[in-house]
Amino acid sequence: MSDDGAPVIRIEGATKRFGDVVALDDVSIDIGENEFFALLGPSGCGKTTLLRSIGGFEQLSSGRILLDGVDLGHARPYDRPVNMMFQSYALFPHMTVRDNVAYGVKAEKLDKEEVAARVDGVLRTVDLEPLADRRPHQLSGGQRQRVALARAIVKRPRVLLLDEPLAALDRKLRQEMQIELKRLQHEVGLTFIVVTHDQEEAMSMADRIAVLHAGRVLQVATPQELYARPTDHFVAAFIGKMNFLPGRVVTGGVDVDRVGVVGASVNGHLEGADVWLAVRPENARVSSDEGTDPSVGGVVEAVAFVGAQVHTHVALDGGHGTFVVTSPPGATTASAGTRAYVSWSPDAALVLSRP
Amino acid sequence: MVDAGAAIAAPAPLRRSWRGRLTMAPAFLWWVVFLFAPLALILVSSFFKRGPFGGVVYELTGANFSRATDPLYLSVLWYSVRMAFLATLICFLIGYPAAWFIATRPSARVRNALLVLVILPFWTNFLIRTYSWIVLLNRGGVINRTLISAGVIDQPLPLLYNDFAIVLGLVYGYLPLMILPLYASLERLNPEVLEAAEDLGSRPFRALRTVTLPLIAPGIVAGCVFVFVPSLGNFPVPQLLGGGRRIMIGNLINQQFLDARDWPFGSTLALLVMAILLVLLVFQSRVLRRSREIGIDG
Amino acid sequence: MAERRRTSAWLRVFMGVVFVFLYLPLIVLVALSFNDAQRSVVSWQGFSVRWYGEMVRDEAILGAVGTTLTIAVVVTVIAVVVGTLLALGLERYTRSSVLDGAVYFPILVPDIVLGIALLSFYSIIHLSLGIRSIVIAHSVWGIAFAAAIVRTRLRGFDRSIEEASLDLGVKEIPTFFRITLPVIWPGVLAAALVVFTLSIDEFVIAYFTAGQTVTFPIQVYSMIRFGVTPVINAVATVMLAFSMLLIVGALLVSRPRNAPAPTEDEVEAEAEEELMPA
Repeated sequence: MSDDGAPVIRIEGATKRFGDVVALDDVSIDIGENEFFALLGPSGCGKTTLLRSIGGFEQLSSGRILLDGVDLGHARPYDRPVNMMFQSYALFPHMTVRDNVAYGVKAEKLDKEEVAARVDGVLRTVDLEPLADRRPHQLSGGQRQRVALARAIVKRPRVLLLDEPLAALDRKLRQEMQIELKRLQHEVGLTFIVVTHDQEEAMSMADRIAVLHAGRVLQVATPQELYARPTDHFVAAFIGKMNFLPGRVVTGGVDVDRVGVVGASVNGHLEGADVWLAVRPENARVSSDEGTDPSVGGVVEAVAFVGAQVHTHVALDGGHGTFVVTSPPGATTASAGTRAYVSWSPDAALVLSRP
Repeated sequence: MVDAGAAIAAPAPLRRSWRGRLTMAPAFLWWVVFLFAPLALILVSSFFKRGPFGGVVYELTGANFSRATDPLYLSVLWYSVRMAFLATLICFLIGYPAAWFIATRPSARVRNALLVLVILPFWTNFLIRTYSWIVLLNRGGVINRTLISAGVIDQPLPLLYNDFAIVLGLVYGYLPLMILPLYASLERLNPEVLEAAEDLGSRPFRALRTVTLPLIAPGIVAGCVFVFVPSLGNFPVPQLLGGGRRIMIGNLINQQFLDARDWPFGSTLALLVMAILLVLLVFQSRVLRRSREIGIDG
Repeated sequence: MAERRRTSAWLRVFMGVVFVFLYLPLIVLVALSFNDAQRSVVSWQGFSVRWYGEMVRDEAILGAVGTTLTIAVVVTVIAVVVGTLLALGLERYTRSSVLDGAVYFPILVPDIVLGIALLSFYSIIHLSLGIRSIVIAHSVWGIAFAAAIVRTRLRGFDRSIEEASLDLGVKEIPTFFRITLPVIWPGVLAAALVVFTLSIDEFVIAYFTAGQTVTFPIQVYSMIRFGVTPVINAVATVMLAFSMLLIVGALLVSRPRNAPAPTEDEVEAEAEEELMPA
């Protein structure tokens, strides 16, 4: 949040319809100054539509978007102090790197020295100076991306929109660019709104994340909170890995179908409501005896040693599929085919609605 | 490397802006005034009479149509259809192997170079190309002189001012128009389909007939239409290469308009040509539609 | 399709014959134009450029050339401007396959039909026959050709660069001139060259709509019909050369440049190469 706490971008009840398809359904989000904010979700969830609406390339069917408290309305992209880095980079193929970057600044009718100074400054910031006279087709994917960034940053927008910035890069480059983008954002001091479908990316880069699905915002929170306390089944499944057990709320726990009552904190849920009992793999343990913690029995299917972790796959009673337990190496492992109990500490489990 | 491509490949949302549609307006306006109106005019003219000094007298009559069915004119039409058909057939017999040859060159560079070489003569003046055959086919022309001096024949062959010369001129003029669509269709053909046919027991000629030709039908039909229609309405070739003794419908229309100054009747004849064109286009679109249904993108 | 077995020798011979068929007449014409003969004699009498000299001195021919070029230039401008706009509209603002197909109709209409139709039309609207009437007639198919050619260039066009231009502060119309047009320029140029070439070579439509005006093809036609001197061979050769140059130019200009993006390593290697002394 900025100094006076007011959000830079406020999205109020944004709804967008394409014919019969509802791409955005009453979305409301606040984004603060200098935040690295991510719109995360699977393809078709509306995140790109939302981004484009902020940029002025789509018009909302209803709702509004406020920038510094001012309704952007139907303002055209060139009238918005917002700039976008396109997924395809959209570099002008017939211009050099320098001309690409200078393009938007020249449109602001500054004098020549000012333009040159700004352009040179940005080229230095993204480390593109030696390539300034090349054309896009002579650049690699990573270099093109930096040009696209530079071109947007040089305009000093209030907000920078990035549409799947890392999608076109190979894995090694992607990880480098994640760090690079964070560094850039701090150095330049801009608010970034990034659209991505990759939850690992969002989790590692963003200050806060909005998870979208089918046009709706499911949860807005910091990465840590999204991971530890997802408020929705979809969010819990989408972020990281999660084990789910279906059941109904009873006093003091969840009556897991065909298993029995498992103790859990059910505050905020009505008795009898259908819920999921959700446990992260690393929060669970496998042991041969039941113990006092909430637990469910089953048969060990397989034990896999994956790098720095041990994955134990247990086929639970009640036919609820495979429960995965992750433990550090060296923990005692059960052998496949034996009967075992999967347990977790009471506050490690989540209870989520099951519509 | 996947999503950037996907972003470009997804069709851009259609902006229903009237301003955008305005870009198409000048072209269509031009065509309404200078294409459709004139065509409508000749449709209408064929119902009117010829004025005493040329021009049109606005009295309705069906005389033009009954006159057009006069055996004299019908024979001209029939002759034109025959010649155009011959030209189309020969273009196909020459063009198909040629297109096949080009399509089966392994190097794209070679294929493109060959295509350019095939097309190049087409972009030059049709009259000049027709004239060049006069030089070649004349009694004292290059071919005869060469054959005589080589001792192959004693007397010069009558190569000019006959049906042979006319068909030759038409084929020469429009051959590239047959080769290009055939090539396009052949290039898209999956060779494995042919190999499958042969594997299942089809000898090459049967495979050609029952597998290849149906699959490249859109290309064949396109090539035939591109050759047949201009050949039908052509008038320089029969005039220059046919010696003016044989007239095709193009010459007839020319005569009616510029010599006899009977515009209504000339329009009627032109309508006949247009009618044939439309029938062919309908046929072509049917073939195209059926091909699309079974999955060939002609 | 291109990975087939060895081609039969017959087919190669056949192709050779086909190319001889296509080019022999042209070669003969060119050869004859340099033939130092009195009349249209077909035996070689020696090398001479006198026919070219006569051609250049012939006022009728020069006048026809001038007329033809004037017409071609105007037709090209009209066709390219209107055709490019049409191509943009078809590609972006409509999904109608009917409209798409309608664009090819002017090309399919037989030239004799178009010629007489326009002749009739001009007399009704009292438009005098001359350069203007020919320009209008040629533009009818010129627009269609230009639109078809520019359209192919528009197919792979990444529209996000236009959005990027808007995003960076440039409005729609300047964006068209600074971004869209330069990128589709090769297609526009190719369209211009093709339309220009077709217009200078076009005979039948001009024949009907010219009235007293003489275009170059019309001149050639009268020369063939009424008075054949060897000058015509020189004329033919020049026309051939000119048309071919234009078309080869059009093809070169419109070659697609579809090189995939180089990888980081490739770019580094290239940079190193540049630094090393040649």
